[in-house]
Amino acid sequence: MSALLELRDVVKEYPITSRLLQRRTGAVHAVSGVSFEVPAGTTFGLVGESGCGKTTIGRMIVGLERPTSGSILFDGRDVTRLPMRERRRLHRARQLVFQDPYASLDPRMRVGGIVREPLAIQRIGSRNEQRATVQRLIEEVGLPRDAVDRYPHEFSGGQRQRVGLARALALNPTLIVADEPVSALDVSIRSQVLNLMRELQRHHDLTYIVISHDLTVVRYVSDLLGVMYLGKLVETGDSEAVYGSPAHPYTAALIATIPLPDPVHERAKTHAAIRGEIPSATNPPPGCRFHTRCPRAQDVCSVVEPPLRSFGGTHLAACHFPLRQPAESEAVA
Amino acid sequence: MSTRDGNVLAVDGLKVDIELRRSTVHAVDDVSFTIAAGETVGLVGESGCGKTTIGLAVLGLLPVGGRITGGSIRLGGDDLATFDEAAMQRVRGNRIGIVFQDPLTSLNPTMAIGDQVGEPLRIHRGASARSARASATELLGLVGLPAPARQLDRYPHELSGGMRQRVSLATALACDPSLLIADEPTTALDVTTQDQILELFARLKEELGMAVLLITHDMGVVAGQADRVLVMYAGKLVEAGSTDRIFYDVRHRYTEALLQSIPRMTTSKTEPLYSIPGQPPDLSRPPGGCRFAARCAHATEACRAAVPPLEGEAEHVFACIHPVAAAAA
Repeated sequence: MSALLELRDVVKEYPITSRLLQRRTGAVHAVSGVSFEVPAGTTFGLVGESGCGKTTIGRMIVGLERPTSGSILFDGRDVTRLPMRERRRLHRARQLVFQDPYASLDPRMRVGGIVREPLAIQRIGSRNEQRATVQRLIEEVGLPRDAVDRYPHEFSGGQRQRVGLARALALNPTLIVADEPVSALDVSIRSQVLNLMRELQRHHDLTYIVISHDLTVVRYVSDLLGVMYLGKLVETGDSEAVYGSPAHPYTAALIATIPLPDPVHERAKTHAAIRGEIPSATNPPPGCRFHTRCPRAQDVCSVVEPPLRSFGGTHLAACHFPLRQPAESEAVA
Repeated sequence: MSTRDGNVLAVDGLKVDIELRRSTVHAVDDVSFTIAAGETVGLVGESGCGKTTIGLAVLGLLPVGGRITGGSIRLGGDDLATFDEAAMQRVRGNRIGIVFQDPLTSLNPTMAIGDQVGEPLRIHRGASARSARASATELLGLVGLPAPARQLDRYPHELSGGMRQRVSLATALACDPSLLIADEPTTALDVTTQDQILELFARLKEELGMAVLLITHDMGVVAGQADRVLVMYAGKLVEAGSTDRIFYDVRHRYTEALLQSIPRMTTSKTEPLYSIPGQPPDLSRPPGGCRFAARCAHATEACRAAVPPLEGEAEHVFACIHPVAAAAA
């Protein structure tokens, strides 16, 4: 399997400017040197807490943001360095599904128009062909045929997310970035949408990047997993390997803190594995960014940034004192 | 402040209607439950099931058009359903503490946190500014704010989400309420922060012995916090029982389906997730009979004919004609 998508040392910083001093006074380090590969046809789950940079990465992958440095290779070509026209054509292949189906659909447009809009903008097919495509997509995502003539407010959250998926599929993309696709939905509706996403992946040979703070959802959909903390990728690898035997204390803590629908397990749980809260991304801690909250941190952690090391196969983690023995002593990146 | 039977709160036959422009939504339909001192009751269900409306009805904070059309809400010896706004103002923040989902909207952005935490004491107890400040320091320490005395003059925007939720909890606890209503108190927080706040809840419950009504959609949060669980669907209470019975001996088909829909760490990745077909009914025109029947795989004509009553034993009741078989004892 070749990589459909590859991020190489991607950095995104947002400058903070002082109006008073009329100059740049600092920067928000949203993403600080992230690299990973996503093979075609797989699902890569990107997890982490608010402010870790996962949404910024998603937006850079679909071209809504440009990285400050580093490259994003899509089908072998660096999409950050393409001429405008080329970039527009490549946009078709990478689509985004948003979290909030209430805010991401134009309330004054009919569902048919919403799904057809990308085709109109990219001037694909005649009006009749576009209509036929829309009808096919509406039915494929499990909406009633007459949905095309109705407005978003007539639909529930789950149905709106189906509209979002139909719109994303209109341009026949190869890659879909889904940012918290089910977080706004109730559990009973959530599984309907996750099952649909899986069906669509099979039918359309899609590659997914699923961004979420919900580890159980990400585990279910993902083949590969990336765990982010404060702009850094701290652990990545085969999803089952990372969940089954995490090497990074942050990953382990994330997994351990999920409240499970199991009273006996919850009552026996020892809380507060990690202290405090996520530090500011304008002034991230030196060394390992997690050291201020890590139960295993030692002096070296606040000075030396740990490199990603292999824990067997594609399983990598960046920690000086991992929960398991690394596969070999040398660093990978 | 509890009634003769030891209950702090006793809601009986509560009905709430919300008038919209073109229709009336029967948001809560004949719901009864009690909460004893020191007990945490989890009120769960999906969006629109009426769980938040129940909390707002108890607090006298129903939205415009919202009205209690039946039943009683007994807190101590009083029926809050009959109280006017002036009387409710003396109850809120005094006998009932409140924690909402988003502390950034529930806290006053223009007020220093020390003043905010002390405000209920000044209003309800006539505390002096100095004594309110001293109490605020103590309360902020109780909820785990580091160096509370030095934080009194800070504003909500200067604090992180977790710290803000601690501040709103301190405000809720200021007057030593007999009942705490917490509506999705950790939903807006990251998992690691949520974990810390849940630990705090568990500790305070032990220390303060209040009655707690925990309203949430998260079955995981309820599993760790609640002594008893109430499950709502489309304005109706469909199952109620001890937390262990609800999770390990579930009887109502809706609760069963809800629990099965939650992806777990052990869920098979190769099979489709369990999902409930369709969506909840329109509560301006609720269906006759069991409101879950249209989505239920076990429904028969009898389910659509009449509303099944809540039946069972003291520790566990459910309103289902074709219940899940009882777990072996």
